[in-house]
Amino acid sequence: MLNGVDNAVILIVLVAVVSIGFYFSKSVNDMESYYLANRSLPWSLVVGTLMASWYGGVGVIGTVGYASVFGLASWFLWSIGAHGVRFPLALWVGPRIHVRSDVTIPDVLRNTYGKWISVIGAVFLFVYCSQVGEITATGIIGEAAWGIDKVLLGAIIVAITIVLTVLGGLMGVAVTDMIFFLFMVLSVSLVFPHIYAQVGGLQGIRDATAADLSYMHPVAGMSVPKATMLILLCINVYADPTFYQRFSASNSARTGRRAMLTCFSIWICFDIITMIAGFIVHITNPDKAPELAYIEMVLDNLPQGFRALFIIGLFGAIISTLDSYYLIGGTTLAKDIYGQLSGKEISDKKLVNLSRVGAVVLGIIGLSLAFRFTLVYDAIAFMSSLWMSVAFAPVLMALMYKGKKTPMAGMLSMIVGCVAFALAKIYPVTIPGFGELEPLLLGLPLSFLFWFIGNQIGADINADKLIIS
Amino acid sequence: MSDQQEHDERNKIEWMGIDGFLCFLFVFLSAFIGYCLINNVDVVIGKVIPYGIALATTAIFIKYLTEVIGFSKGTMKD
Repeated sequence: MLNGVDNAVILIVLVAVVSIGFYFSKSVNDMESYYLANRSLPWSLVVGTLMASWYGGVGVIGTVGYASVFGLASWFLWSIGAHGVRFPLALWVGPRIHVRSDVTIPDVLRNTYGKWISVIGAVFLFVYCSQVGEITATGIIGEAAWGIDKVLLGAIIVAITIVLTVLGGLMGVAVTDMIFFLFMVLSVSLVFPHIYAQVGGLQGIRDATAADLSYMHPVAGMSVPKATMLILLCINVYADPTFYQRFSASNSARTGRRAMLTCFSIWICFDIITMIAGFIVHITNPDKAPELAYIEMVLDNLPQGFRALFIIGLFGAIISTLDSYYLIGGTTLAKDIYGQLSGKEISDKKLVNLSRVGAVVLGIIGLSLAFRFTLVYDAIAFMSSLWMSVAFAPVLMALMYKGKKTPMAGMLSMIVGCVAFALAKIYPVTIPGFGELEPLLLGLPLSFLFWFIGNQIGADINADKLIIS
Repeated sequence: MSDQQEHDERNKIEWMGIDGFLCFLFVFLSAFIGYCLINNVDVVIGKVIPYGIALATTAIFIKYLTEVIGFSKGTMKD
């Protein structure tokens, strides 16, 4: 557990980072500067904010937990596969987003399918932005670090997140993201060689897991349906609002593309560290929850003061992810739900203030839901699967399909995807030889199928406009 | 030339430049780390990768600091 020195270091660093967020709030004077940092983020800021917002608390301790269960196949199947499927996003889809004037997912939906499809999408997007899994993760970290009540700790983290989001907008978020990410990467990376040597390296892990030969086999430890499901969840990034925002905020399409390609190489290396850490806790603490055992192991191996930086890094990763989504969720509530339903022209100042209110609402929703989930990954998988079943097909087709796109295509795709997901969740389907069908594996294909069926009905609302291809 | 064509030309993927290198780097790292994992190359997995990531992240952070300082001066003036 952390001592007084560690806690003092945490307090000082937190005050410093919040002050930085406050400093950058001075540059926020309209919606463009609040949400897109005036479309001027350079390569290093885009790399930092992409890495930090996507490798959140779930990204670190969730990866440790999953790797401890599935062994070496986690890296060979899940990690390589998950990053591999994102290459088309960086190379072709991202640059198309950067050139568009519609910078949010509801913008894309409105311009392609009309107002009501956009509002429905915005409601689901708002819920998705609550990111309850990240708050659930704070409970595990808090228990290992201080042994304190998880709801109290969750409330503190949410409060800090809201302050950062409300004050600084994207510029504040991008600046603080990188600081948190540095702490996390340094502490996780620098403690790793020591704990790796303690177990005798890879041969030591192989010897300790010799009873289960599949554990250290490159592919045998994870079933094909499980790997498919995990990789499928990773393509969620094609409909992820933070990606749209970061790509649009970068100072050019080329900057966004290169920042993302850089992230892939860093992630594939960072993955192997967190995954082997999962193998190590699997053999050193087989009876304990792997996420909890990992944090305790790292705290035991770091000197005081440095332990604080590790905890700040982990909480920072959570705050980085949360503040990114709160910023987008708040903007979605203000601009895409309230703005569209009111039908009035709303001033930039009012939009920014409403976005701030939206961030607070998201914090309250997240806190009230987060601790209903026992496992961090349950919360993430549920939210991501629901969002993908509803929005993945209509958003991707809006961006990439060059032919006609009708409002009915968007409507049917969303409704069928949502209903199929809900039914498969409520009434689980088991297929012999395959296991239980993940709701996403039903919702996503049906959403695509009904997009094409709906696209045969009605006319393209952009038929008479110049379409940028 | 239209704005769109100009934009496409300016942001064309440079397969023989930085874009191609970054794609190749990912493939190379995946194959190299995979080889080291299968053949128990502890010096790479236990030292080169963690210290390499720490160094790379620190380097990006330093570049980030220089750009943020310049960037904040610019935005504060606006």
